[in-house]
Amino acid sequence: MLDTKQGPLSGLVVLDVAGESGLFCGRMLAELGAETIKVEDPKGDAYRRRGPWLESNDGDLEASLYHLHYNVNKKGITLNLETEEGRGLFRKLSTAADIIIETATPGEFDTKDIGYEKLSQGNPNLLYTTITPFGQTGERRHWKGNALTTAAMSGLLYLNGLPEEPPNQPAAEQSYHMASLVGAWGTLIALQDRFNTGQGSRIDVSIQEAASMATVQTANPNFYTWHKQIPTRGGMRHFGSRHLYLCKDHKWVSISIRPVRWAEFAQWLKEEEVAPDLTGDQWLDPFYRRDHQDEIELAHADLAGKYNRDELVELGQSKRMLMVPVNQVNELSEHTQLRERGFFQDVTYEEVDRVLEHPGPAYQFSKTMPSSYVRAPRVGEHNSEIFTKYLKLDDADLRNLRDRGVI
Amino acid sequence: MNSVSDRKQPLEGIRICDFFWLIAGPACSRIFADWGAEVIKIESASRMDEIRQTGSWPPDDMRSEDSHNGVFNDCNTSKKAVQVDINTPDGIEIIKRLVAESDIVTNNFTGERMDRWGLGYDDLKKINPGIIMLTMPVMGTTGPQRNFGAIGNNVIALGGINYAMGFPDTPPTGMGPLYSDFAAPYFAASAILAALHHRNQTGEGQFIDLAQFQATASLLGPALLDYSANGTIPDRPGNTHPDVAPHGVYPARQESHSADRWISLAIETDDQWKDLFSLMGEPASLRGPQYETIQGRIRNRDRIDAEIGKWTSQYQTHALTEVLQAAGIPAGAVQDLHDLITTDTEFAAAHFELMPDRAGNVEYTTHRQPVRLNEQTAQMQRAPTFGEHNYEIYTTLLGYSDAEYAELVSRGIVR
Repeated sequence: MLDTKQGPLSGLVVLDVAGESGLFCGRMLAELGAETIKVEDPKGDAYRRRGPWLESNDGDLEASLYHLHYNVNKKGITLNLETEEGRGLFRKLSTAADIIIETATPGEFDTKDIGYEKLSQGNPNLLYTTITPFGQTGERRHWKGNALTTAAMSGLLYLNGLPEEPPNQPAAEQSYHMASLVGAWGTLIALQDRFNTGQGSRIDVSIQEAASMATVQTANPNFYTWHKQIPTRGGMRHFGSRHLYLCKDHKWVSISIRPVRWAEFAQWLKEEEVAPDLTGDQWLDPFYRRDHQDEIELAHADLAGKYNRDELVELGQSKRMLMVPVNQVNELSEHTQLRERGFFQDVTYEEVDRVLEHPGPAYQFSKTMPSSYVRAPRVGEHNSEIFTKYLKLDDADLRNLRDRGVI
Repeated sequence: MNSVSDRKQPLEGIRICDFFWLIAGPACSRIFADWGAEVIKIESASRMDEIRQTGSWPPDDMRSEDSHNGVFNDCNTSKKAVQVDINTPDGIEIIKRLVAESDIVTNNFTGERMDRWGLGYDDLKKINPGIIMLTMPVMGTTGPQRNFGAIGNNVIALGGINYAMGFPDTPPTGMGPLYSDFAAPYFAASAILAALHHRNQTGEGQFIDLAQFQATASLLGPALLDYSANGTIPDRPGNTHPDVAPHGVYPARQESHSADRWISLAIETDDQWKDLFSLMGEPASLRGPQYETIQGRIRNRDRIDAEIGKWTSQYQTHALTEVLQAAGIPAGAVQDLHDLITTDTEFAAAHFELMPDRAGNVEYTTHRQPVRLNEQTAQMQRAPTFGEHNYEIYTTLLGYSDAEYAELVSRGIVR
């Protein structure tokens, strides 16, 4: 790497054995500078069989945009963990690792003798992070779960959508994202503990619990325990999706009027000859407004219909009203603020002779941040580098392992 | 086995001077507080955290002046609360004393507010060179739209999540919860902890500029890369999955507490399909080779969904979930708040903790941190009342004498 700026986690070694639910955790640690090594089956892991695809290369293990997105900045090796030889190499490699991330059914890695109990004997400093639907303990630890069913069990799914439609799944597998984010900060808390104590830790993330954290406000448990209320999906009136309106150009705007701006807002609507009029004194009472949402929404809709979306957003922002566009991916891709802040990261794909833009980091560090993104690994791309560096294997050893299907 | 019980809390010894307010910020600093850091929440009479006043309130007959609402409690557990009137020279001096004793400074102000107080990173690092400062406005601190106004529900719209949710023929309905308010803080916590690791290695502090907009847009999965590669603008997917069918949310039998009952399930393999087909009693309408492969099931998705819905609607969602899971099929009851607290006893026992308020009149049902370290949950305390730790922090940590403290109170700097 030619980067003069290294990430804050540079020097740490991560073995990422995760499936789909934990890929974003390793991606976070890789983006922050840890040497993150994807360990996968010699035949290629399941996430490589998921679309969308790079151009029309459907089914090509190197062309899954799902893989290329979630494994960007990682290195990749292959190991057949169904063979004792493969497991032996994994155990050896784990002695050089700081962090392991896995998402197998609880007990599976223990049965293979590559679980925390075993690996921590060889490496007491190890931080061993698991991300599973219901955590490592409890009656349901063996239950199957995916992004949809864990969102359902967490209470997050029930809150989304229109009342007349079934509850709607969160876009883009958010229960996996929440669990991976918890996995990232949970692991880094254990890293601080290791700095203090010199001891490793086992970090156990339940996807159900992680996803439930997104409901803390909308479905705060005390609504039920104190009042027996059960928050349900409120469609366009709900916290997260309220006040979306269609503008003259058929684009959507999101509007939030804070109580301190109410009087100014009502006056502006009057000047715009919006119906109904909301300037009477009764409208200054927040309880009156709560009980007359229909009229308020009609006025919002009338205002939105008078303007093209971007004109309304600019005008609203100039009046310090919270009005923002409901962006689609093409609008995000062209978004000036995201571009100015260097959100998009270029990665070259030689096979199609193109540079593609990846969504990048949420943050900038003043001192430490890798300056460029590195393409996700091809199957076994770093076998030679990693096995030589950490296990001192030579070319003959590697050939031998390859011939026997271990790597 | 590592011995756990005599271990200190992992973040013990770390102190945060915390200007976070509303939801997204406090949900970040709560993580630090619950895992043992001393998080000192800064408020003042003119700048009380607004979330103290909005949330789920206890019933009037249980409530005292020391009660706060459930949402505030859930975003501010284990913190200490002090008051500082920061719009005075004394207030600035108090903050500078606190920063000198802190490891981390956090805020989610828009624009240059901290700089205008003389409390920007360049000012603070002169007081404390190792300080880690994180700021997380919606748009970040740079760029042409750095002062653009937006709150939680707007951020979901800005970041592309609203547009990607709903059914093909419905508006972009988005999330019920203020999702970015709960995801962005997890990026912030990870960034601060990574910077702390860097400081442990080098002694060097730094400034972290997090844009909630960017955090949200980075949660769209491969959609932005797909747009870059293929120019694709996807349809809203409803409850479908591009590579899996059936995959959806189906009606379940009504129950005494609610008629709005649903079950989610997904068939990821051909074997799972055979098992589901068998459990459904091998209906003639779903018999045939066109249903036995993923590609065939994706083509016949609508017909399959209709048949599954007819079947699931006869059963209670939790009972059917048990049956499907016993057959190895990923299924999950679509749980509402009643379920999470009373039906799913395993979740409730693992995840919720009851905490009394300061007066002991009422108990808050509080989310635990959703991770176990060496089988242990974080050791949480209830959230602080407004100014609860004024005297303690001023007279011990900040070194003011009782007389000096009384004078700060009399002049309204503390109140």
